[in-house]
Amino acid sequence: MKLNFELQDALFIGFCATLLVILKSMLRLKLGLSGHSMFLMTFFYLLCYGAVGRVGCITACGLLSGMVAMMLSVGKGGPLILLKFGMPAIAMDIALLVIAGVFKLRWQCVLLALAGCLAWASKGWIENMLAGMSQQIALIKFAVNFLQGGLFAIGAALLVPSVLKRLQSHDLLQDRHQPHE
Amino acid sequence: MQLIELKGIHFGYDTYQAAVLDDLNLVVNHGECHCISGATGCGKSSLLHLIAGELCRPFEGEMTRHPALMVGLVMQDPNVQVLRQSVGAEIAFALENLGVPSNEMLDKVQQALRRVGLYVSIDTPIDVLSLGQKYRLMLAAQLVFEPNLLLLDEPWTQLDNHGVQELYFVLKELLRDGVAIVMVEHQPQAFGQLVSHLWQLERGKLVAGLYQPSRPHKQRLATLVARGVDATEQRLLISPHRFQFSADSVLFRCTESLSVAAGEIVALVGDNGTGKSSFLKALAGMQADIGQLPFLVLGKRPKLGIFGANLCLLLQRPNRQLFEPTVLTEMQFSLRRFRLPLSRAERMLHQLSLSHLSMASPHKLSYGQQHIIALASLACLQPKVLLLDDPFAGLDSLHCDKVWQLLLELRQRGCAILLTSHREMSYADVDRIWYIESGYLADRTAPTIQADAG
Amino acid sequence: MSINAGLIAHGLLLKKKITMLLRLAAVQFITTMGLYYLFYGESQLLDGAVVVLRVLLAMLPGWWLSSTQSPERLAEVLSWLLPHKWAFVIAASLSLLPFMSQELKEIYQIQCMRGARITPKALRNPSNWPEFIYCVLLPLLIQLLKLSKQMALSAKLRHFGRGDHVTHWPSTRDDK
Repeated sequence: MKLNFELQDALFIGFCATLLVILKSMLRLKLGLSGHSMFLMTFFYLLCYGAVGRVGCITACGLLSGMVAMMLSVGKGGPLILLKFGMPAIAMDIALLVIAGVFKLRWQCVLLALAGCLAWASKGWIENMLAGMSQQIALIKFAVNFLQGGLFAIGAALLVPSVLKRLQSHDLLQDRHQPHE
Repeated sequence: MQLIELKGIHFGYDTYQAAVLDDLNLVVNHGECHCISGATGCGKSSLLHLIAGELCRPFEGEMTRHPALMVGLVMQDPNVQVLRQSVGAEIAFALENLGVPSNEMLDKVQQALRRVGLYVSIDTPIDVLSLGQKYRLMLAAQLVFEPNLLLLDEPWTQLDNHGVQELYFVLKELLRDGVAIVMVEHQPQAFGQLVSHLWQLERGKLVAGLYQPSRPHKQRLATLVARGVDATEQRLLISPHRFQFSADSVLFRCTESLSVAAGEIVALVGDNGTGKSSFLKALAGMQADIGQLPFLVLGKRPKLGIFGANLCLLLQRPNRQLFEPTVLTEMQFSLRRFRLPLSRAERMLHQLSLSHLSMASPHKLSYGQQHIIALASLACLQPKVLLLDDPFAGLDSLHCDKVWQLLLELRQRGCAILLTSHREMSYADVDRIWYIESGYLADRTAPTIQADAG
Repeated sequence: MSINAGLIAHGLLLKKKITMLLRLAAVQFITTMGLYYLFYGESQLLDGAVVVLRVLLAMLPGWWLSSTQSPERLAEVLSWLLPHKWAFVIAASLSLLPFMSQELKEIYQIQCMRGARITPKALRNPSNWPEFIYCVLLPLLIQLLKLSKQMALSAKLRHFGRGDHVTHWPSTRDDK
């Protein structure tokens, strides 16, 4: 987080992170499916990228969400939640370094969503392997998580460009850096 | 002592739009009080931001600032400026950034609180303060670093009469201490003799005098009769009750039965924080923690979503409900969902002479225009009951008239309208007035006046 | 192992809810054991149980921390670790939290009254999710965009980020 964001961008990232945590804690009770958290996570991370348009903002958003969630004691497992929010974000930022400017915004979003989802599912996998679960079972769990999460993540990724387009048409992103179209 | 001088300032948002400020000159000295008026969106707020040195875009012209100049700016809505959770921490924010040692903060903070006449503990959470108190808190948050130039953005619209009165005395003290004040305000008469220079911003220049928008002649209520409306049909019925949140003390009591009939406009007047908004929300069935109240709306107990297009509610800051890409689609949204004819939207825009905006983005409009669009998108549903929470707050007279035009039109169609206001209403505008005063909700319309109005 | 037992004892002593953790443990246990049974048969079930136990034990310290320590204390500790600007961002976001949930609720209700297909019943159908995003989240995001600008301005006007040396308001004082 050494990157120097404008204060207003930093605040917007913080607000997105908080809103993500609020929504997540509201929806947690309703939906039993694991992986639905990827929907919200992907949506807000990509939105931050679209609105602020800089490498590093997704990581910032992820770590901030983790911290906010930790302070509100949403979810289980205290500081571990930092990893839960942070890992997909970092993965998305790394992916962004590779693909920035190569694809159209829509495909960028989908690829980033998949990268995030991969990191999210890997986290569970690594945990299970560390705990000594047999490789085969850990792999199946990983595949199931990735599929479920990926479905939600792609759904969110497809919504983001149209939301950004609306924000842009309202001139709300005018003095921010534009993402590559 | 000359604090700041602006000479030939040019400033615009877009290269292809007319300049907002064009060859503007202003000199502010120690102990002066300047008041600037002007049409909405003419660049008054930009001017304040320019003086404060926080304008986000470059400008042309000369700005000479005294080396000792220290500027404090209180923006229009105190709620968007709050950065902390307790009164003390909020006021100390500037001191923290200026590196004032922690042990000196307490004294300075308490001094600032006393200066604005706010006698609350420094550990008070900010969200329990009233709007007027919050405004003075933001003032204290500026005064704590002892600015010699204070900028205020439209204090009158946000405050109730009580709040304006309190602010008046604070400003009087400040001017006596030699602080200079520049305020943007449409109602300079509220601050009486304090104002030493009265300006109006016109075509980017400051000229002496007060901006007075031309007011179209307003149709008075008495001349209008609702057509084909059964005036005995009671749309809203409110039986005696105590209005309170489950865990809190009583907000107000109502000891008589109140009602709003078809084709009637009723105003509910009370100071900020008396529970007007919660009352309207309870009538719409969307207020939580309020328990069962003896309300009947269109003959039913209110519950969210059961009235469809028959009940409409406009909350404060109506611009937050706008989301469609164009004004026209925004107006058509509810019509589409309730399967009503879409042509009503265009007709409504035409009626309000706003057809030229139909393809514009609702979020690029001025606050007043957004307000009208939000209201119009409800009005074209032709509801049987319309509830409005402070529909005139923050509007200039031009847009106020448009709101009245819409309300009268609806009244003629037999709509029952209940609106709240934090300012006194006139019997020439509404059929009846209810008051929330010293803990009681009552209809104080004198029978004689009612006879006159009816 | 013994540390964890101590943590559980301490947490339970403070009457913190452990049901959440137990429910999670049950789900983990059933899915993992089921898979183990499917692939390896009964002989390896014990191994599976050990794995589940290890995962749970790894989660315990976090559970203890979040259920016994107050959020404000965590925030205070964090603010010493983070750069000043980000500590400010977190504090501002947290103080805006009640506003955001209130606003979310109100906009949701307003749009419900305007006929949007976002009632709990309608939202069971995922094809209505975009409507929720457009009607409720988009207006809220627009507000947050504007708010972030105004709060940044308000902070800068009060000299935020000017000096290198920043002091702290004594939020806990002796003279209370």
